[in-house]
Formats: sequence, C-alpha cells, structure tokens
Amino acid sequence: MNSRRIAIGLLVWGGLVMGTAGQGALAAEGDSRPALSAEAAEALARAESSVAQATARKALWTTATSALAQAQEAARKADNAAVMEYAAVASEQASRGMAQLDSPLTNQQH
Amino acid sequence: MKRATWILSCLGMLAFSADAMSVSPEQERLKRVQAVQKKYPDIKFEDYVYGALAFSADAKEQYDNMMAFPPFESEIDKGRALWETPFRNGRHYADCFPGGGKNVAGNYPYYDETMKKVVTFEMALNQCRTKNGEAAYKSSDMNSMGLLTAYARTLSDGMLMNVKVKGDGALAAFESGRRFFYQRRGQLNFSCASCHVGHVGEILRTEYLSMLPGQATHWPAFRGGDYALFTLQRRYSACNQLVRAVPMEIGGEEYNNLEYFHSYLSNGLPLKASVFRK
Amino acid sequence: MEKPVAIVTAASLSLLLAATFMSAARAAAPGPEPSGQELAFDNRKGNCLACHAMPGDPKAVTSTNIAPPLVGMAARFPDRSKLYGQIWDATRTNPDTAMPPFGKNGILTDAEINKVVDYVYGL
Repeated sequence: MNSRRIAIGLLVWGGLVMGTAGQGALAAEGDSRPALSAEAAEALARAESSVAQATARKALWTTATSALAQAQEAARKADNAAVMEYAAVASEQASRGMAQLDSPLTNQQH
Repeated sequence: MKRATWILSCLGMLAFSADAMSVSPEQERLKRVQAVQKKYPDIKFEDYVYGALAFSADAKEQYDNMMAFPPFESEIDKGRALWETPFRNGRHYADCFPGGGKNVAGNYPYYDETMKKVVTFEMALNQCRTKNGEAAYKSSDMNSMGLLTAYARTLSDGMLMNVKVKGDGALAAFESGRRFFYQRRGQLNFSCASCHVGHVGEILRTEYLSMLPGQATHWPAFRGGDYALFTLQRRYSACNQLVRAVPMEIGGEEYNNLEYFHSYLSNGLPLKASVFRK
Repeated sequence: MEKPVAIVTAASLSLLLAATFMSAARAAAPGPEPSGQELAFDNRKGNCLACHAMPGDPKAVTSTNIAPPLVGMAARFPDRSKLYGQIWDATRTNPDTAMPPFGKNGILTDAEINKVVDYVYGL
C-alpha cells in the first residue's frame, strides 16, 4: 500500500535532483575547468590550425581572426554551441583566404 | 628556304620568351602613366602627385588653403628637433647622407646587393641610428620614426622620384612588390589595382580614386580631422584592413618590396612630404 | 497524506522548468531583421552605394559612378538566378571585376542576398 507513495516520492525526488543538477551545471561556468565538449574542442583546434596556416601563408583575413577570437571567448565560457558556430566561420574564412592566393592577378591587360 | 625558317623560328622564340618574362619596370610604368593620360588628357603628369585632389578643383583649393598654414606644423617641428639633436657620440643624421640629407629621399627605396634586400628611407634612418650607437626606432611607431621622417623627408621636397631597378635581385624584389599590388586580398577580394588602376578618377561612395603613378610621392601624410600621421607603409596597413585582410608588418619584407614597386611607378614625379590628406 | 507529495511534485516541476528556461535565455534574443534596403546601404554589409547609384530610391545617397546604376533591373535580369549569381560571385562573369563576391566569401548570407535581390528588383 505504501509502494505507490514510495514510487511517487521517488519520481518527485528524482525531478528535484534533476532540477538542482541543471542549476549546478550552469553554476559550473565559474569553476576553474569548464567542460568543453570533445566535438567543440576539436572544432576549435581545427580553426586554430587553419588560421595559423593562413597566417604563415600571408593570406589571413580579418574575419577569420575575429571569428577565432569569438570561438576562444566562447570556449572560456564552455558555450559549446557558440564554439562550434564561430570555429566553423574561422575555419571557412581561413581556407577562403588561402584559396584566394590562387586567384589571377587583376588588371593585367592593356 | 632553310635559312628563312631558321630566322623565323628564332624570332618566334624571342617573341615567346618576351611574353614569358614579366614586363620590365619601365614598360610597366609607361603603361600605367599612358593609361591615365589617355583617360584624363587634361590632367598634367606632374599633377598626378595630388591623386584624388587632381579630379576636383574645389578639393585642390581647400588643400592649398590648408597647406598655406598647416595645422600639423608643430608635429613637423618635433621631427626637426629629432633630426637636429646629435647622437650620444656627437654625430648627426645629416652626417649619414650625402648633401647633409638634402635631396636624397627620391633615391629610396633601393636594392642593396650586399644585404640582398630592399632598403627604404626609414631603414636608412635607422641604419644611421645603429651605426652611431643608438637603438633603432620601430618603423610602425609614428611618435618616433613617424615624426623623424616627417621632417627628414621634407629636405627632399621637389626632388623627382628616381628609384633604380637593376640586376636580378632588384628585379625579383620589384616583381614581388608588383605581384602584391595586383593580387586580390581580404574578404572583400580587392587588389590595390582593382581601384587604383581599374577605376582611377571614379568615385567610391564620395571619394575619388587616385592613380597609381604619383601615389608614393607624398608621405608621410597627416590625415583627416585629427591630422593623424601616416607613413606610406602605415597607409598600406590601413588599406589592407579596409578590404578585411590582416596587414603585413610595417618595415617587413612584403611592404618594403611593395614600396619599391610603388615608388618606381612614381619615377619622374616631384616629392613633397608631410602634406594633408583626407 | 497526498498534500505534501503534491507540493513536492509542484516544487520539483517548477525547478525543472526554471532550469530549462534559464538555458533557453542564454541564447541571443533575435532583434528585428534588416531589410533588403538596409543591407544594401549598410557599409558593413552590402555597401552597394559605394559603387552603384540607385536613381529610383530617393534615400540612396551616393556620388559613385564606378558601376552600372541599379535601375530597371527586371528588364536587365529577367532570370533571378543570374542576378543572384552576380551578387554571389561576380568574378564568374568578369574575372577582373571590382565587385566583391558577397556570397562566396561569406559577406552576406543566402537569405540576405535574397533580400537584396528583392530590393534591387524594386528599384
């Protein structure tokens, strides 16, 4: 007869725990080691590598640099979604800059 | 018949190799000057130094009025003090240059065969410093090198640009600078030539686009409402940023080679330093 | 005996909801989207006024004479995809062009280009 009450109690306490755990995850922003997802960390590393390559080839765009800065800022806050978004822009803009090196010189006629 | 064939094939090979080689510096310069003369026959060659001002009598008049009493005179005076102050060893900048530094700037940049690189006038000023036991200035520091060159270059006002490109090393540096000028860069995908060869004298929003010949003659410039001091290479940096390209190093190889090409393209035009520009 | 359970259920549910709302609130609240005209005029976006006069729009203030004025575009570009392509990457029709590749280089999004195309057709 008490089993129903126990089941409800368990459900209720489970909900409470999930709620506070959610609050705890948000509070983790202030912790010394924020948790960046593996996917986001990998995207950031790829972006840093692309930007470094473009820099070495003297083909870096300011848009790549600023997107990377925003990705790094988002990484400090463990904002995985923002890291993914900005890292993608940084990688794309960096590779566009390098591809531009192959474009022909302009105004070569007359 | 055999001989004619031989002569023709020799001529053919000559023609082929001429196409394969880059255009010579003088051919390049003449091509660009003639293009402007053709498009704007009423603008005198010597007025190319005014750039955008050459297209508007009103703008030129405002400039002339400004230059009668330049608001940045005190900055040039600071440069004069830097130039005239002796080094700790008692020697002066004037001792490093022929004629005490008068009428020398038009010979820069030049290609130094020993160092195997382009030497700009600002590098020569720094060489003078280090030769006399002083630390070199940062080329990008407008408060030291900027002010010094703002005065030092005025000693060459009126001198015609006279850059030389002779020998393989010099030609390679010139070509490197030329390629920089004509290469698309930045997210906006402009080359310098897109505007300053392709659309000379046309208006970008509200501003006339200056012609390539003449551009390198009038530096440093004091720009805009606050008369900010810009050396030529600081201007390169600003232009690169405008097209959303991360700029090269001021005083670095890319901008030095670019200045070499850019200055050659102004050969025959009179220098005038420390002028106003929008 | 059921009242305390009900109270606790309500409390935990509201905590859960609060947690969800807080994470949703961290996403940027979208402001009003710029119009095609605004994108065309904005010098950080299309900046079309830098090179193109727009005689049909009294708000289009520019002295430029670099590129063809944007007027009568429906007659000049009956095929929308051609006008879209011109904005996306003008070097495909003229390798020497001074027009930036707004789509290819990521200066404008596809949605933004479409808005600009709509605006330009209306000039």
